[in-house]
This record gives sequence, structure tokens and C-alpha cells, in this order.
Amino acid sequence: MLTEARPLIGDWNQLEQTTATTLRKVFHRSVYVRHIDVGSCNACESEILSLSNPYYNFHRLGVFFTSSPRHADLLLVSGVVTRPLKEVLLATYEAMPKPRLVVAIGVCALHGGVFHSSPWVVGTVDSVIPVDAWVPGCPPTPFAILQGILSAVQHRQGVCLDE
Amino acid sequence: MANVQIHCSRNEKSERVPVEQASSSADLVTWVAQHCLPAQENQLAPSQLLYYGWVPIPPHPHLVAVLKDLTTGRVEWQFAQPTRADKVPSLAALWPAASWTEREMWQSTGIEPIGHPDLRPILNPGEYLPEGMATGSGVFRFPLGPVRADVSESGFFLFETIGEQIMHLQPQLFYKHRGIEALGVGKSPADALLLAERISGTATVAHATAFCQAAEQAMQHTVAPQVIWERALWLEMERLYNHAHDLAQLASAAGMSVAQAQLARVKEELLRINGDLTGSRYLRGAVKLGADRPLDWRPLRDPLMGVLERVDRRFTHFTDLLRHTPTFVDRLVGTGRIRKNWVSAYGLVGPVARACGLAVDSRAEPGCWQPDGYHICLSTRGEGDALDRFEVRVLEWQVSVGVVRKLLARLGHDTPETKETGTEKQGTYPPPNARHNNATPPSGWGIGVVEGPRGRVCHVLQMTDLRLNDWHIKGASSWIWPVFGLAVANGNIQTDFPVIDASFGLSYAGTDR
Repeated sequence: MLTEARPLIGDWNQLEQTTATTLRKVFHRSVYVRHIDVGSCNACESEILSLSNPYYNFHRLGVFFTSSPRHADLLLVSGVVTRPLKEVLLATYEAMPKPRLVVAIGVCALHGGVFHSSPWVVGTVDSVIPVDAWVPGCPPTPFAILQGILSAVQHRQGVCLDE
Repeated sequence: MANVQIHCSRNEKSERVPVEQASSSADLVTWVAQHCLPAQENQLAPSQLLYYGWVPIPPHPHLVAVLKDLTTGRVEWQFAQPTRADKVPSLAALWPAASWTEREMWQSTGIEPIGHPDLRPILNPGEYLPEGMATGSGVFRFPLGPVRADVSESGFFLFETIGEQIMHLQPQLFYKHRGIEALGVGKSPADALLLAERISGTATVAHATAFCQAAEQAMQHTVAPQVIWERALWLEMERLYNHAHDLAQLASAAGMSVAQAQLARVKEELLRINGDLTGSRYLRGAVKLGADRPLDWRPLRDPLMGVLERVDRRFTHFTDLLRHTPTFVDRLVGTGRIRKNWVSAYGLVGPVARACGLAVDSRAEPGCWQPDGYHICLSTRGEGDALDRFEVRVLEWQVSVGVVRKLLARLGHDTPETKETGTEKQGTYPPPNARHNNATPPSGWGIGVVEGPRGRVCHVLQMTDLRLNDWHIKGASSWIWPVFGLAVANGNIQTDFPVIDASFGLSYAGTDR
């Protein structure tokens, strides 16, 4: 059937356990995610919102949205960075406590996409703040975004243990 | 008439170009205001302004206004060169709807609209932000954004409150201005279509269809009727998931978590079937420029019908429950009410206008092809509050589901071979010469108008040698945003803001461009 739910990741239970363990190691508790739109077309926001719908429900992995960057562990950035939003992005990043992670969502955030040559655009996300994981797609699916969040956390786990 | 310039390459078609020639920019502004302001409040104006703006094409930059006569469906183009190099009379002085357009025009081109009531920068929020209007004891200024709660687009709001009461609200957009129109200049229409699809992600089909209509008109290319049906079908699919999303957000703003989750499921299932049918959950690439045939719908019809049936049942059930939940309805009644005189003063469009009882819908206008089974949805109360916007979206959902079913029955019936061989078999559905606007524009120019999920989306462009010379985009939300601030400050308190925000369901990206 065309519309059956498609299993992308084999064993959810195992994945959930591994994820929960990883999250505890890095952040001691849940991961709180702050999203910032720095010039996207709104398709990425729509997919990020889908993460909390009953099909993806990233809350059960211990990942939650937060309203304030002060409470955030991870920053999801979507869109190509426009002139007025560069300072806003920097201020949001600076307001986050350490350790902090950044995941860039969508081709606009990765390399500018169709907007890369616009004079209103200052550049990609990693030209402004350090990025831990990149999620390609226009827009990336919720599963891809979730994978990006988990990759960033797992990668940082290694760094933290080294420290 | 000496200062009138019509810039188009002459060809054999140019004799019957119905361009009305304004003698000066002052005449053009008066002409637009006369036609776009209705005789009485909350009535339809005789004409609709599709586009008004500055065309910087050398050697003679000029003003352009495109109007549609709502009785005949005729699209009228007017061009005028200003008598003074950098000044034009302000249209906003006569008709407030043009206020943001003229502020943007002033800032991006340096053309000053003389007599503009509120001439302030709009395009560079990083350097200029609204300062506030209210003074006196007890007035509190509360800036919100551009980073604000939840997952939302970037925009700034300056609240001025006394206690809980919102006295004034100024929205500041254009944080996400990407200069899309300028980026498209010099590109081939196929390349510019990629940009058009990314103006507003949740109105991908609306912008792509409007752009394709405009480009096809400029190239004098007629697409097959089946392609028009297919585009209509994608437009309705886009409307369905947007309405489900908007209502889910509204339920969430009113604290109805179950309805929010269930309507989010409806949206997700629609996105999945969109992805299955076209490879993109947001229908990117579904609308093709100058397409000569649609998909082969025979194998696709049944899966789509199945999904529609399932989501329609869930949508109807939960919106029905919402409508009978007093705590939900009480939250919406009288919240974010739009006054009658704002409707015509700001030229409202889309579900927001229809919630005020104004029968404005690009699908219902003369000269436009109307999908089978379509009828215009108006709220029964006509109060223009959040409850009416909820009701209109619920009604429109039902109509859209019906339209998709009828279109599917038609598309799934045909074999691809018959699609190529003319329209005889189809009779007069739609008429063989069906265009979305039945007046011929000046040569090289094209206009595309569609009814997107949030209202009328309009693209105006000019092409020479298959390259874009000029491109103007007018999204639905850009008509509604100026009223949003007024409606929020219309006797509401701080905690009403999320409900009003969700009930409008406006796009930032589509306005910022």
C-alpha cells in the first residue's frame, strides 16, 4: 500500500533505550530544544512541528521544545541566514547554557539553497555559529530531523567523555 | 498622454492589447482607488487590485497597476510614468490597503509616495524597529520576537498594554526578506519556478501555480485542460493540510490537546499521501511549467480516495466535538474581531475575509475556471472573530474534499492517450480557451492568480527571450497583516494573542519574500 506507515529504523525499543542512555550521559536529563527560523520558507518549521505529532512524538525519547534559549540544550536552525537575523541568531546562541548543540535543518541552512546568491543573505548557519549536525532536505522529513538531533547528541557524547 | 510609456515588444498581437492608458501617475492612483473602494462597507468593491507597484525596467521605469473587474472578469493593466523622477502620489492616502506596499516600494526603489499617512522603513528590521504610539501613565511596551515561544517563523510584535488590555500592536515583518523577486530576474522560468516554490513552503502549490500561469501567459502557451484540473487538485490538497494545521494550532492555543493531536494526525496523513504521490510532502515539483499532460491518475485514485475518506471522518468528528465544547467556543467568540470598515479599507482576502462575510474567492470570480462542485464558503455569523475563522475553515474543508473527489473521478477516468488528443471528448469542461484571466496582457507580460490556502496569490512578470525581466509577487498574507495588528488590539487581552495568531494563520515567509 502506498500509505502504510514506513518503518525507517528497525528496532524502536532498542533505539529508545540507547537514546535515553545517551541523553542522560550528555545532559543528565532530557534534551530541551529551541528552534530558530533565520530565513526559511516555513516548510522546515512545519516539519519540525510534526515532531510533536502522535506519529513521531519525540517526547517519548526525552526531547522537548522549550520557549527560552536559556533553558535550551540544542538549537535547531532552519533557513538561510538573512541580514537582520544574523545578530538574532548570535544572541540566541550566546543565551544558551553550555554544553550547547546546534543542528542546521534543510538545504538553505546547509549551503543557502536557491537563495545563496541573494544580497539579502549573509551566508550559511555555520558561517555564523558552530554547527554539530547538518540535516539535508527541502524540507527534511521529521525522521531525518530526529536523526539529526540524535546524531548531534551522540557526537557530543564522545567529545564530553574526552573532556 | 505624452508621458505614458508602455513597455512591451510589439508583435502582431499588440493591436488588441487592452491596456488602459493613465495620463499620469496621479490619474493611475485615483483610478485604482475609485475601482477598489466599495460604495458601502463590507461589500465587494467593483474591482480587485491584483498588483500595484514600481517596475524598474529601463529605460523608463514606471508604475503599474493590474485590476480585475469583478463583474466582467476583465483584467486591466495600467502603466504610468511619474511626472517627477522620484515622487508619486500616495495610494495609501486614499486606500489604506496600499500602505505596506508603498512603504516597501519607497524603501527598495527610493520612489516617495507623497501624502503617505505612515511612511516608515519596513524592509530592514535589524536597523529600524517600531517605537510605539501610546503614552501616559500605566502604558507598558512589551516587545515580542523575533524569537518567540513554540516553533514559529521569525517576526516582531510591539505590544502596548494597559494592564492586561492590548491598546495597540505593531507587527514588524521582513526579517526573512530574501529578495526573491530580484533573484528571479535574468533566470529562465524553469529556474525561477524553483524560487517560486520556496516563497512560502506551506503555499508551495499556490505560488508555483500562480507563477506558471503568469509565465505561460507571457510565453503565450496554453496548457491542456487536464493539467488545469490537476493543478486545481494540488491546490485543494494544499488547502486541506493547511486548514488541518491551522485548526490544530487553534485547538492548541485554546488548550484542546486531544483535538490538536488528532488534527495534527490529519495533517500528517495528508502530507504522507502528498509525498507518496509526488515525492514531496509539500508538493514541490508537482506543478510543472507548460506541462502537456497530468500524471496517470488511474492507479493513484484509489489510495488517495482511501486516505481522504479516513482523514475526512477524523476531521469532521473532531471539529464537530470542538464546535460543541463550550470552553473552546467561549475562547473564540469575539476574540480578534475584525471591524466591518477594515474589510474593504484593507482589501482583505481568503478565509479571513470570508469569515467577515465578504464573498471574495479567486475560484469564484468571472473569468476563472471553477472546479466542479465548488461553492464559496461564508461564515453564518459574519462577525469576523476567531470563531468565524474557525467555521469558515471547517466549511472550506468539506468543499475541498468534495472538489478533490470530483477532480479525481475525472482525472482517474482518462487514459493518458486521450489526454494528448484535444478536448472534444471533454465537452465544455473547462472551456477550451479557459484561462485564469480572460484579457490579454501587453506582450511579454503575464499574470497568474490563484486562491491559495490563505487567499489570493498573485504573480506578475515580464519576459523577453525566455528570461525574466521583472517579477512581482503578492501573497495572500500581505493583504491581511496590516489588519492583524488592528484586530489584536480590538478589545483583547494579552492571553488572547495566541488564539488570534492561530485563527489568522498568516504566513511570514510569503509576505517577506
